[in-house]
Amino acid sequence: MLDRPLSPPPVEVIVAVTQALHCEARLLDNEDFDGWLAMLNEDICYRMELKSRRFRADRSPPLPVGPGVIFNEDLGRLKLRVDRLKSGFVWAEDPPNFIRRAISNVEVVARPAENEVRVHSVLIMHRNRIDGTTRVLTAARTDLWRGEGQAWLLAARDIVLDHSVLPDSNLNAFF
Amino acid sequence: MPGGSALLGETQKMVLGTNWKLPVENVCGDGYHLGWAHAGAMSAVQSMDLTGLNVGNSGVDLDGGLSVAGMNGHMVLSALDGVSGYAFYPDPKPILEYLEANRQTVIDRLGEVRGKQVWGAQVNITIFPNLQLLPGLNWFRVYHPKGPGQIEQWTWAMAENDMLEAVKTQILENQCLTVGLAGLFDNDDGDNLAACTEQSRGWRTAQMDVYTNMALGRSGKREGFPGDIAAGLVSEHNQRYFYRRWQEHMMAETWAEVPTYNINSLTAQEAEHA
Ligand SMILES: [Fe+2]
Repeated sequence: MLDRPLSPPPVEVIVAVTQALHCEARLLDNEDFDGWLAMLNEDICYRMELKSRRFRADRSPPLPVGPGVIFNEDLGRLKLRVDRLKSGFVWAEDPPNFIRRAISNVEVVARPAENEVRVHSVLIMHRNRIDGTTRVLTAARTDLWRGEGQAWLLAARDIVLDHSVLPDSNLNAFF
Repeated sequence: MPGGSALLGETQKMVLGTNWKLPVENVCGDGYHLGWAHAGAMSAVQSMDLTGLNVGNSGVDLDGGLSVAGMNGHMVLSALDGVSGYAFYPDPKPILEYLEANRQTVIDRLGEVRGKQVWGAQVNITIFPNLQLLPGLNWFRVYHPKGPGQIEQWTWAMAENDMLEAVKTQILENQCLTVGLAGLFDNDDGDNLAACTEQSRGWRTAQMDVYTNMALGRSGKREGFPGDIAAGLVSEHNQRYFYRRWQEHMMAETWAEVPTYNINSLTAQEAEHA
């Protein structure tokens, strides 16, 4: 998506939002799901669509009811996923996996509303499971962050996963 | 329904570190893994009864389902309540309305048992060796072996063409939520299958037989159905026929040595007359 900034956002906004992205990654790495949920706006829209890969010359019409999704979550559904992870029955996360997220290519773009910014970023997720099993996933994210009082909260996240075949047995981790 | 079914959405592909037979076994007959392997997901999204299967499998009802096998390796696992295919939809109402509105059409076409009890129920269908579809949870899946201990699993959502677009949209959405790449149910199985494959590679484990003796000797014919049938969704009846069929293929020197058995009796009669 091409964003044409009205004018660059104030440097303190860029710092605050970038810090929020890093904080979010650290909370998720540490499985502090409640801490992460507290960083989300109540009307959050958290999406990862299934991507089409067609020949460039392919002009076939879009699929009748859309491509389908990997994630299409509101706050209730994200809480449901967190409840499942906390249920003690998710065997694929027991013993816990080692997960590390690195956030990069952060671009903070002003929006007409002063308390909102569009944020582009790249996520690299390293997951280690059962001794030698290690997977690296990468994704691009386009977010909407909204200033609420003292804090910046995540209001929307559109995730593009860079794998047409998922190289792992699950996506229990949040992006 | 007469309009047939179609696949929805993009192909959902994932790599699993498992022998290809384990996911087939998992879906062809393994009703009892639900309450254990998927306890986390069931506690989160189950909205209706499925033959008493629940977290911990405490209330299983064996009269509520059938394990149908022995049809040249093809298998069906079916509940008999006509609605439980949608037990894992947080809001099954629009689909239950579709079932109710079209029930008579299906009964006229397929008869009482299939129309009233099977259509709409949780039905797991296995086409030997590596194709499975579940009308109800509405997915269609192929396992592609990729060498020892690795497969690619390709999944699509599936809906009946006679359904309204809003119902199809709900089906695609719910299939993605439950057995998609981040599916609440599917994300439980992959790791178990990989662990089973890994453990079976050990020297001592490789000397041991697979134990699939649950409900052994409790199957038979039933009027109106092909195959050899055991009661209930909790049984290892289908698993036994799956491995038996695989063994028959492995032992045969030629196609002529692969036996044919228990196919639909009507088709068998036609073959005799021909
Ligand atoms: Fe399963």
